Amino acid sequence: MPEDTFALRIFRFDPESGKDPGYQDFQVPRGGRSGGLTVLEALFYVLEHQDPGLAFRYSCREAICGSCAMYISGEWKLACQTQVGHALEGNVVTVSALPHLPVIKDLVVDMEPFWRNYEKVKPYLINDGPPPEKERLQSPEDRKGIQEMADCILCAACHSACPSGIANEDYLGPAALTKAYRFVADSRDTAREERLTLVGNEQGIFRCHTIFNCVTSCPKGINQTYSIQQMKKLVMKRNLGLQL
Amino acid sequence: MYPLKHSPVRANPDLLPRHYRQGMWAWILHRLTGLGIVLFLLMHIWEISSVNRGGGAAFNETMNALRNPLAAFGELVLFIAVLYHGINGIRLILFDLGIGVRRQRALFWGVLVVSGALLALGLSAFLRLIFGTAPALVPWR
Amino acid sequence: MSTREGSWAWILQRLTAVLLLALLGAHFFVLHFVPSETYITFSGVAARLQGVLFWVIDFGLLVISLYHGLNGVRAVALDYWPRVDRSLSLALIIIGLIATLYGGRALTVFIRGM
Repeated sequence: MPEDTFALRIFRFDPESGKDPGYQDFQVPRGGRSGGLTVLEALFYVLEHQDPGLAFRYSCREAICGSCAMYISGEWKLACQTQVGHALEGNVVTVSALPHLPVIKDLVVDMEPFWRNYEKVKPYLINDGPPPEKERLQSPEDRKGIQEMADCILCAACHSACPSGIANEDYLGPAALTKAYRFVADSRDTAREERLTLVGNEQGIFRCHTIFNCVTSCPKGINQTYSIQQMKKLVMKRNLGLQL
Repeated sequence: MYPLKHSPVRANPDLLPRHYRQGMWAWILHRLTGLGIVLFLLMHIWEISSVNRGGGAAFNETMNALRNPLAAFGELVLFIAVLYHGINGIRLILFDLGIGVRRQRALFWGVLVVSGALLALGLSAFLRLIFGTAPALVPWR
Repeated sequence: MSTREGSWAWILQRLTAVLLLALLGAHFFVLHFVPSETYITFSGVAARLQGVLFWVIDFGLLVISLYHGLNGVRAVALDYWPRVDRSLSLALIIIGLIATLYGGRALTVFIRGM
């Protein structure tokens, strides 16, 4: 019954076929009266019933692993978190690979540019002090200050959505910069100076044009621009020789 | 083996702005008006510098040539562009001061409201320029 | 591009922006709401530009707006062509210097009034 189906328009690209990339429509049932079909489940339906060759990434299905970030009906979303009913445009849901990242096959992108920039900000705790007996303790208040940045699931939605330095693969991007601030603001971290040097240039925080696409695209509701602006202030303070 | 790094294929986001959010509009308008104003600035320097090329006579000639409806319309466009760029610039500087980073949407609407209000004032001056008389919207006139 | 250069370009863009808001507002007000004549003529402008203050303000406006504008062009271009940094900066500096000298000379002609 056609009224019970919708069209899932999927970005297709198979490097081995030698064909140009393009969109392909699949008719998918809406999921009966109970509704509640997610875009990820719709992709599974296509995989199981119509095209076993469809490639996409997923893992946890509950918005915590960050594998299934896609460009769904013009917005950066996690496929597992997005209801088909909310993504419909007419009777069509359009699903593309994350924009601006190299496509390996169908909806699977090469995350190398994302990880390369992520590694540049040294996304781990640095503490030169002697190792403590048990663990490095942090007060609940100090922890609260970095809660937002620590929520990041590394889905690369913001990285892919950011128009600043859109043709510049060396731009750190909002995800890496937010991670940098997560450690800059961490009371246990001692590499503040080094971190500010890593991000305080025009491939880092000063390439950000405060467009807020990262903020609108983040599935975890993180405000990356806040982190970036905080670091701009810290870098300027350091340049002026003020106490950080 | 397929060389991952060299995949030339990218999915592109919509070129049509149906999903642009406030921040994206603010940025695109800021960028376009900025580039337009730079172009005008260079033209403005060239036109004023007609005194370098032929003294006061050349300057008067240039000013006469610029007294036409097209130039007046261009000035109106310039006025709107500078108004928007300047007021959105205040919005950007507020972000840099740490103000309103979590209120960016509201601030964008604020920019449009303030720009619109000042535009109404400016329009009265332009109407006077074009038609000779204009409604007295400007308080100091 | 070294760390500090990037941050200074950024802060200068903000400082010139604030100065431009004030200077451009004054420029606009003087030209449109304090008219000394119906049409703009050389003698009229020259008469107004006689004060040193006007020369300083106008020359400052010239330099500051050129810096803000051309640095803006650089920021835009580097988003799309990240590898042209050095040659682009050099080209923009040359354009800026030529425009400053040429425009500054024009201002001086007005002051001399001939």
